Amino acid sequence: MVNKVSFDSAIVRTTRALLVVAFALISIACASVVYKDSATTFVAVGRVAGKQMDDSSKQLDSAEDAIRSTEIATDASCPIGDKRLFVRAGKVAPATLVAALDRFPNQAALSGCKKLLSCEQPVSANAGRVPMDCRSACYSSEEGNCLSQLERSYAIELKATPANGSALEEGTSFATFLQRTEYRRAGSVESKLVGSGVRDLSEYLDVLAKVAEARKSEYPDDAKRLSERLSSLVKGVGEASGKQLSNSSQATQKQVQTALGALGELAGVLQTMSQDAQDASKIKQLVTQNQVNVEGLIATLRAVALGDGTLAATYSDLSMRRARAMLQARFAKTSDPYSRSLLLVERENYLYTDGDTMLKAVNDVFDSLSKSHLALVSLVNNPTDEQKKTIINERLQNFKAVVSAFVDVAQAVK
Amino acid sequence: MANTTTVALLYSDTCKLAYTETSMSTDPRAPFSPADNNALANQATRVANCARDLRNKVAGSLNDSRVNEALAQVRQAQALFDYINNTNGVPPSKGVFFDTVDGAVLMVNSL
Repeated sequence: MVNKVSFDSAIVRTTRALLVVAFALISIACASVVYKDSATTFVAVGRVAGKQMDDSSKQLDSAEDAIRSTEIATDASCPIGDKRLFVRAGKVAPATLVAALDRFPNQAALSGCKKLLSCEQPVSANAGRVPMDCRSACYSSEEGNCLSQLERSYAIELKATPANGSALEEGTSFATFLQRTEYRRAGSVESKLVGSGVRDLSEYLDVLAKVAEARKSEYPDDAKRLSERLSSLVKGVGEASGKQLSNSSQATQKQVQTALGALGELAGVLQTMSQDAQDASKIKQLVTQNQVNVEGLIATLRAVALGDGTLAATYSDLSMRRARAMLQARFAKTSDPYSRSLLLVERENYLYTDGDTMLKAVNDVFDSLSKSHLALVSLVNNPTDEQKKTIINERLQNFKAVVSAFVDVAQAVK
Repeated sequence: MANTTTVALLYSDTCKLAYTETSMSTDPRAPFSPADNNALANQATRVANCARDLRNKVAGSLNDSRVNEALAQVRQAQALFDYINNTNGVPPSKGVFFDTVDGAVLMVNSL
């Protein structure tokens, strides 16, 4: 009996000892590499998040285009061969058009712009009745070209003098009108910036991780490549903003400029890191100094992503409401059950958004990015701190989970 | 005997001019309007064709000073389009554009 008890105790003690050793081994193993799952890195997760943010921003455009396409199909005179196509969707507030033509006399002289103005401000005795040639579903080639030229002119002016308050206000109203009327309008400057920004920040986190692990053969090239890509992104977004107007609020547009500045700074830091790769203390200093810039950048990109999120959800729901009303009208006139069943299936194309959940999901992604960054900066400063390496791993797993949840929400809303 | 690099530059700048004018024909800017789309597209085609023909010429057989003159004329035409694409300044008349581009095509074709 005593022997059995002793034997059992020995087993228990040995087992416990083995568990302790196993735990220690696991801890050491976890701590000696930054990523528990080496196939998943910040950059891999960041790419998913970045792409989903790009996709989400296009949802509003798809919803409104569905309505515009039905209107275009009603009128054979629509100039569908033109590069840009605009649907008449209520009047331009005449003041918007008058202000634009006052500001840009080159365009005011064009016959298309004169026609556009005459349709918006009928001066005949029958004021209030729309003239015959203003009743088409689409703006004519000349009228559409007028709108396109005016947009470019505003974009050129705002790029040259960004602080011009009156031009910015006018341009924003004008862009709002274009957003309502243009079929398949090109994606917004903001969505390009946020999607790329999230991807590139994730890559910066990977560079930091390599710095912390002193993987000197790897991080200089990564830093150089990322620096070049960031410079190209800043340039590309800057050029796009000179051609295309944004109908975002002035606050969002200022955020875009701030983000561009911060990304440019990050590109500079990365370039220096790649050049001074041998000097560990200098790198540490750079990373610490850059911490504020990156935190500011994350905050700014978050603001840009959220800035129009609510607006997009609102417009989307309003357009869904209109589409559903049209669908219902058709449904009411349809006599056979089979055709009605097809219309019912079509209803699935017009689902309302869940704006609150989407906004929360966006916030969670940026929260996680921010925490991961802070953890990595801490690790760069103390690369031998085993506890911190475990925290990094947790942050990565959290980032992965948050992005996955964000993707699920975005997919469900589509 | 023309410098190979200069001829290569002439080729790439001529291609760029063809692309610029083609883009203008699909989304015109003042002084142009959609009524000018066909004329712009036709001229852009002539610019593209002359770039293609230049590509087949042997650099060493071309006269150096004439290559430089052609390059200057192509760049002058490009500068006109760059001006209306990037500023809101008062544009030259349409005739100035068409004549300058025609002059550039003539010079490149005569090399």
